[in-house]
Amino acid sequence: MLSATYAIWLREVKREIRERGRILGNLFTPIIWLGIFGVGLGSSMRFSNVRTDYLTFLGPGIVAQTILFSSIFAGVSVIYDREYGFLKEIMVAPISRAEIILGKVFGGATASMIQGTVTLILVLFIGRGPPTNILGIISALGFMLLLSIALVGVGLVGASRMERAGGFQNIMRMLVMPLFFISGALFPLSKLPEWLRILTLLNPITYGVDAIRGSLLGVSIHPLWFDFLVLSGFTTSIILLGAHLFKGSEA
Amino acid sequence: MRFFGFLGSNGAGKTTIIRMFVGLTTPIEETAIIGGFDIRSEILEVKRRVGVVPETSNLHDELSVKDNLLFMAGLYHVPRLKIEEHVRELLEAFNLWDRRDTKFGKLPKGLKRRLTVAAFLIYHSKIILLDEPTIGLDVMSTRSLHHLLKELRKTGVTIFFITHYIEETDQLCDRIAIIVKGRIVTVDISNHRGDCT
Repeated sequence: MLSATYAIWLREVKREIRERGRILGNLFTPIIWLGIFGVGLGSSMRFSNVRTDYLTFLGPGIVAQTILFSSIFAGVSVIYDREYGFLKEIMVAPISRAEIILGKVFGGATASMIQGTVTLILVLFIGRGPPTNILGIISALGFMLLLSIALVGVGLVGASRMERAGGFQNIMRMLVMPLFFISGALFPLSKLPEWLRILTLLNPITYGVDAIRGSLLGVSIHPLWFDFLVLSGFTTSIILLGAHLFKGSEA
Repeated sequence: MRFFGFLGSNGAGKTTIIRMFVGLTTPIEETAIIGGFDIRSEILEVKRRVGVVPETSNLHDELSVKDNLLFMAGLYHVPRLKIEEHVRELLEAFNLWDRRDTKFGKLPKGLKRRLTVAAFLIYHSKIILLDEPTIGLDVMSTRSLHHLLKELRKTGVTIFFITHYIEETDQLCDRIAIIVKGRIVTVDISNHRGDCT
C-alpha cells in the first residue's frame, strides 16, 4: 500500500517544488501582510485586549494564512490531473481510493508545510515577540501540519466534482477570504459582537490560528488540547468525506 | 488470439469499452471477464493484469523519462529492489535509455507514445489495451510503434487495439471486431493474419 501513496506523494511534492512562480507568490504575500499591514497598522493602533504589539500578534495569523492559501489551492491539482488525463493514469492503477487520497493529501500538506515553515522563520525574525522556546516552535509546527492536512482535504472535497480549475478557484476564493477574516488571524476575537463570535467558533481555521498563536506566544482563547481535538475531528471528517466523494468522481 | 483489433467510427463506443474494462465506467447491465476476473466485482484483480495506453499520452511533462517509469512502478507496487533493474530493461528495449534524463514534455510525439506504452509494461502486464495509439503520429513514428507492438506480441502479451483505421487493424491484428453504436456487429479473422504470427 505504501509504495503507491509514496509515489503520489513524491510526485505532488516534485510538482509543487517546480512551480517556482507560485511558491514565490505565496512567500511574497506574507511579507506584504507583515511588512505593510502589520507595521502600518501596528504603528498607529493598539488593541486593548492584546498583550503584545500588533506585529507580534499578527505573525502567527500570517503563518496560518500561508498554510490556508497553499493547502486549499493544492486541492486544485485534482482538477488539473483530470483535465490533463493524469487522474486516469492513477485511477486505472490497482490501488484503492484511500491510497490516492492519502498520497494527494500528504503531498499537498508537505508542499504547504514547506511554505508555512519559511513564513514561520520570517515571523520569528521579523516579529518582535518574546523569544519562543523550542517546544513552542515544535508545537506550532505540529498544528501547522494538522491545519495543512485539514485544508488540503477541504480543497480535495471542493475539487472532487469540478471539471475546470477556473471555477474551482473562484469558489475557493469566495470561501477562503471570509474564512481568513473571521479566523482571528488579523484581530482578536474576544470583543466581537455575538453573531460574529459564533461564526468564528464555527470556522475550523480559528482553532488553527489560536493553536499556532498559543504555541508561539503563549496566548490563546482555547486550551491547546481543545484546539487539537477540534482540528483533529475536522481533519478526520473532511478526509473521510473527500474519500467518499472521490469514489464517485470521474477520471 | 494475441492481437485483437476493435474498429469503429467516432462515437461508436470504443473508448467506453476500455473505460469499463478498467473500472472508470461501470456497465449498467451485464459484465465482462478479463484474465478470469469479473470487471464488476474484482476490478482490482483486473487492474493488476491490464495496462491501458490512453488516446493522449498522460505521463508527466515535468518528470524525466526515468522518473515517469519510477512513478508508475510505485503505483503498481513493483518490488523496490527490482525497480531500477526493470526500468533500465524497459528503457533499453524501447530504445529510450539514452533519453532517460529528458523531461517527458521535451520528447517528440512518437517517443512520448513509445514511453507511454513502456510505462504500462512496468509491472509485466499480460494484457495491454491501446486506445487509438497512432492518432496524430507521423508515418515513421506510426511504423516504429507498429513494429514495437509486433515485437511485444511475440513476448506473449495480449494486445487489444482500438482504432478507426481499417488498414491498421488489417496489418496488425489476428482478429477484428467492428462496433457500431455500442454493439459488436461482426468479429472476423484478419486478411493478413499470417504476417502477424
